[in-house]
Amino acid sequence: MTDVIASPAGALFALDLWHSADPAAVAAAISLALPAPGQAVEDERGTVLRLSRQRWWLLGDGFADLAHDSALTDHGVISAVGGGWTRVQMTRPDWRALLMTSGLIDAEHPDFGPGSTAISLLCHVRCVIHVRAAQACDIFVPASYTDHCLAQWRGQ
Amino acid sequence: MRSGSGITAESVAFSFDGTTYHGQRGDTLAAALIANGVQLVARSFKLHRPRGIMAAGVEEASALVTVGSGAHGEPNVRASDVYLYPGLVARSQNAWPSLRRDIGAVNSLAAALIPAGFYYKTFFGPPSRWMLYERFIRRAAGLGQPPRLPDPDHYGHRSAFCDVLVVGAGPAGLNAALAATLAGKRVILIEQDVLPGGTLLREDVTINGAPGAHWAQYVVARILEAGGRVLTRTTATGYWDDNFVTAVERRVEPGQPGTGEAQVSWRLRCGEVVLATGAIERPLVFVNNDLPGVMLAGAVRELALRHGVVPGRRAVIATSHDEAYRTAFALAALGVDIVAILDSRADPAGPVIAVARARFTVLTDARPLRAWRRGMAMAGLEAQVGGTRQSFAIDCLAMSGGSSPVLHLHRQAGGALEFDAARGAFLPGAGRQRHSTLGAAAGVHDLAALLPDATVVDPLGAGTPPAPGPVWRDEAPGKAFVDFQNDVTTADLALAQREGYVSVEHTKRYTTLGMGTDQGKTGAMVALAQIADLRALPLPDTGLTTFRAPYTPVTLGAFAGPMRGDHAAPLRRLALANAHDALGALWVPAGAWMRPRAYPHQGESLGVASLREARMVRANVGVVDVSSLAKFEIAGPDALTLVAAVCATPVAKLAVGRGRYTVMLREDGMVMDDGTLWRLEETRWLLTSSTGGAARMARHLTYVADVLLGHPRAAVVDLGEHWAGLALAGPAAAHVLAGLTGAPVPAHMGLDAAHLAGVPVRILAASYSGERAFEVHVRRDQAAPVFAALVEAARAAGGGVYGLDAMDHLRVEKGHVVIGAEADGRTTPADLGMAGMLRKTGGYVGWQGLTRPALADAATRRQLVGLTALDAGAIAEGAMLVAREGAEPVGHVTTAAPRVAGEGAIALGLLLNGAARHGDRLLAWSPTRHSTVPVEVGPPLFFDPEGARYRD
Repeated sequence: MTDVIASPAGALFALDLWHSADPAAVAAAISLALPAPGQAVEDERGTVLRLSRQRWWLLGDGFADLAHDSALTDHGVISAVGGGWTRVQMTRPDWRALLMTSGLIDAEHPDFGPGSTAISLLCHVRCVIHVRAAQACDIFVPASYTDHCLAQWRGQ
Repeated sequence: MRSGSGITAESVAFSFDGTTYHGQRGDTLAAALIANGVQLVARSFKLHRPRGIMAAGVEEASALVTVGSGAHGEPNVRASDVYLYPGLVARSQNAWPSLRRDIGAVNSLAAALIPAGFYYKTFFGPPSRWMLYERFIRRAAGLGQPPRLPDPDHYGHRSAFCDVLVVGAGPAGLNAALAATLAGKRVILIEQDVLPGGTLLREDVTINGAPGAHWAQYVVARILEAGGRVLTRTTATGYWDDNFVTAVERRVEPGQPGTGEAQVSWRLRCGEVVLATGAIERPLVFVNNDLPGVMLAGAVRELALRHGVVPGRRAVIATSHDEAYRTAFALAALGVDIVAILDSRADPAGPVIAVARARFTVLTDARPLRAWRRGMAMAGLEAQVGGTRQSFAIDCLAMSGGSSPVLHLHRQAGGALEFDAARGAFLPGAGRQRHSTLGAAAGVHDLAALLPDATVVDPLGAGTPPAPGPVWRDEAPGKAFVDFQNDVTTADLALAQREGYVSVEHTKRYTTLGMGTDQGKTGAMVALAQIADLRALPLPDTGLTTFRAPYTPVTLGAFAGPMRGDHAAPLRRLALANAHDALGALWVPAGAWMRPRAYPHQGESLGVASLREARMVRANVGVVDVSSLAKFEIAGPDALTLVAAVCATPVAKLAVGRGRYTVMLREDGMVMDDGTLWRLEETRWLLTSSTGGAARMARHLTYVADVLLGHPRAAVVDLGEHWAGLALAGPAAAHVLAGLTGAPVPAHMGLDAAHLAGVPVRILAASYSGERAFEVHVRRDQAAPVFAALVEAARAAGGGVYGLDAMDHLRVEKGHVVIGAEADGRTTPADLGMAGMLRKTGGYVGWQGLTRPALADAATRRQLVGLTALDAGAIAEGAMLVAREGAEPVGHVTTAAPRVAGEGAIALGLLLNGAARHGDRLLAWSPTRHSTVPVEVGPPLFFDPEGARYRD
C-alpha cells in the first residue's frame, strides 16, 4: 500500500531560458543551481527541477523574488504556475509499482533514484515526477485531473 | 504424478455438467476429467460431433467449456488451460439438451448439405433477411455464451522495462534468461504455464543430476535471486514496433472469484527479445481423427508424466518421427498396453527406435486410415501397414504428425520465415527488430544442444527432428479433419480449391479454417500441406495468412484494465466543482472537462432553466464559470513577434492594460481558434482561446516559436490550469463588481488588478454575451471565496449563476462563433465575417494561405448567416439548409437557440454565398430528426447590433 497525499503545489514558478542563454552563466548570475536534464536539486529556498531543455521549475516561496531579478532579464523569464498543479506525495516502497500501473514509465530503472525527474503520461495525464527519496516521490498533476488520478492511485 | 509437477495430494472438488468429481491441486481440468474417466467433453462447432481432450495446452481446439457461474462465467475456456481450484464449475457448451444427447448432432447427419461456403450459397436476398437467418445459425452452431452480467473481475495494467525479455520458460528460455541475468541485465521471463519447464514437464530426463522439472525451478530461483522478474501464467499477446511486447498475466483461474486483480495486462518495453515459444505438435489426418480418445502424442505424454493420468488402457502410437515413441514408454510405465507403434516412415532407425522395437510392436510404413467409436469413445482403428490394412481394438490413439514452431510473435515483429522441407515446417528467418528465436521455436529439439553447458541425461537418447505426417488422399471414406475447432475437413479444403478460392486467405474465409479462438494452432500447417498437395505446389507457394495478435484469446477486460466506468476516460474537474454541485449544477462533458450546463430549479426542465438563466443575464447579472478556457502567457523581449505571428489581427499597437478579440489561423488560412489577447506588460501577453482547442493551441504556439520563428526570446507558458476564470455579465455587472472590489471597473477591453474577497484577482473587461461583462481571473486554488462572493453579490442584485447552455443562447443572439461549430476547420475569417479585422500588412500564420485563388470567389464559399424560424418550431442543430425537402443542401445549421430577447427560434448557419442571400427563405431540414422548419436568412446578429450594451 502506498500513502498518497494530495495538496496544491503552492509556490511554483516556471523558469524559461532563451535558447541563446547559457544556463551555467545564468545560474551563476542569479545564484541558483540549474540541474541537468532529468535531475532536481534542493537548496534552502526550495527545489529546482529540470523539466525540459529550456524550462526549470522552482518550487518554494524563496524563489518568488527571482521574478524581479534584473540579472535574469536578458536570459529568460519566470512565471507563476502553481495554481494549476496538484502535488501528490507518495511514500512507502511500492510507489514505483504504482506509477508503472499508471503509464509507461521505467520507474524501476536503477538510475531513477532520488533527485531524478521525469515527465510522463500517468493515468493518461501528463505529469511531472520528482523522486525525493528511495521511498518517496512527488507527482505534479494538472489540477483538473487530480480527482481522476487519485481515484486510480487510491484504488477507488 | 511426479515430483516437481506442481501437483499435490490435496483433493479438489469440482463439477462438470452438474456432476461432482475430485481431482488434485495442480491438475488441469482436462487431466482431472480424464482421471475421472470423462472422455466426452464437448460438441464440435458446426457438426456437433463428440469431442474429447486432444491437446495439453493452449492449442486445445475442441475441448472448450464454460467455467464459472453467473457473472464470473467465462466461455470457451480450453479444458487443458484451466487449473483446478476448489469449487470449479465447468459446463459443456453448444449442446442441447445434454452433451451426450445433443439434438444438434443431427447436423452431422446432414453434413453433406452444409459444406464449406454453405452460408454464401444459401442465404441470398436483402441484408434484412440475414438478421432472420442469423438467429437460426447462431442456435445451430457456435461456441459458448458470453455472460450477460457485468464482469465483476478487476483488471490491471502494468508496464515494465527490461534489457532482455524471454518469452517461454522451457529449457531454451530458462537457459537464455539465466545467462542474461548473470550477465547483469534486467531480465523478464514470461511463461503461460503455471510452472516453468515447458517440455521438461513431460520428459523423463535429468539435467545436472536433477529431474528436468526440478532443474527448471532451480533456474527460476537463480533468476529471481539475481533480480530478474519471472511471470508465470502469463501469455505474450502481441509483439509491436520498437520491441514493445504486450502480455496478459492470469492471477486467478477462469471463473474463479477473487478479490484482487484477476488479470494484469503488461506492456513490456524491451531492449532485446528472446522468443523461446516452443512448437505445437500436429495431428495426423485420417477419418474420424477427432474422436474422443484420439490425442496428440505429446499431450498423452504430459498427462502421463506430469499428471500421472492415462487416457486409455489399450493404445496405439501413430507417428511420422521419433519423438512420439517416447509416449509409448511413458504410457507403458503406467500399465497401458501399447498395442502397436505405427510409423509412417519406411525404415526408421535410431536409439529410441531400437529400444522401442525391443519392447513394443513397431510397424513401419504404417499410418491410420479410420477410427471408429462405441458410444462416445474410441473403440478401434484401421491402419494401412505397408500394402495391407490392419485393425486394432484400442481406446486411445496418440498421434504425431510433426511439429510447428510457434512463430507468431516473430512474424508480428516483422520477421521472415524460411521453409524447411525436411521438417515440413517454417523456421524463423531474419528478424526486423532486436529479437532472436531459440529452442523448438527455431527447430532445435535436442536438449543437449539447447543446454551445452549442462549435463543432460536422457535414457531414450535424442531423436531425429520432427517430420511431417503423410498427406491424406481420401484413402478411406469419411470425414478427416484438419481444423478441429471449426469442423474443417480435407473435403472442405478440396471444395474451396475447386470453386476457385485458391488463395489461402480466400480458403480461410470460405472454410473458416484457422478462425475462432484456435487461430490454426494445430491445423494450419496440416491444411497447407493438404492444399499444396491438391494444387501440386510446393508448400511455401500456397501462401500464409496474416499472424495477427492475439494468437491466444485475451479477455476483453484485460484490454480495458482500470479504464472502465467513471474512469473509462480522464475527466477534468473545475476547481469549483463542489460549489457548482451545491448550486444544483447539471453537468455536461465538454471535451475532457465537465462543465455546468444549467442550474435547474425544482421541477424545471433544462430548456426552461437555460432560457431563464440567459434572460437573467440580459435583464440583470449572472456569473458563469469559464475556467476551462485556454490561457497562455507569452513573455520575453520577442513576445510581440510571436504574438504577431500567431494572431491575425493587429496587435503591435495594443497598449499595456488593453486587450482585443483575435483570431488564429492555420497555415492554409482556415480559422483554427479565437480568443482575446491582452497586453499585461510591455513584454508579457495573455492569450485566451477555446476550451476544446487548448491542447492544439499549445502545440501551435510551440510550433510557431520553435519552427517558424526559430526560437525567439519568448516563453510560452500554459496557464489554463493556473487561472480559474469567472465571468460576470449583465447590465448590473459593473456595479456588482465595483462593489466587490471597491474600485472602478476597467473600461471595455481593459484590464486591471484588484482584490476580491481578500484574494488578488485580474479583471478583464470582455463580453461574450453581448452585455457589459468581466472575466475575473484568480489562482485556481484561491477561487472558492471569489466565486462565493460573486454569486452572493449577483443574487443580491437579482441575478445568479448561469450555465453553458445559457451562455450559448446569448452568444448565438450576438452572432459570436464557436470553434468546432461555426469555425469548423473549413472556414476562413471572411467566411465568418471577420475579414475586416485582419491585419492588412499580413505577416501572420495563414496570411499566404488566404491569398489562394480558390478562396477568392465568395459565391463558392459557405458563409456565416443568421437564421430566423418562420414558425414556432425549434431549429435542429445540424439540419441541412435546402430549398425544398430532398433538394441538394446549400448549407447547414451550426448552432440553434431560442431567442433570449423575444420569442421564437434562431440559429447560426453556414450557407453557400450566404452574405448575399439575406432575406432568402429556406428550409432547415433534418430527415433523421423528422424536423423541417422554414427559416429566413439574415445577418448573424439578432440583438443590439450597435453593441451599445457592452460598451462603457
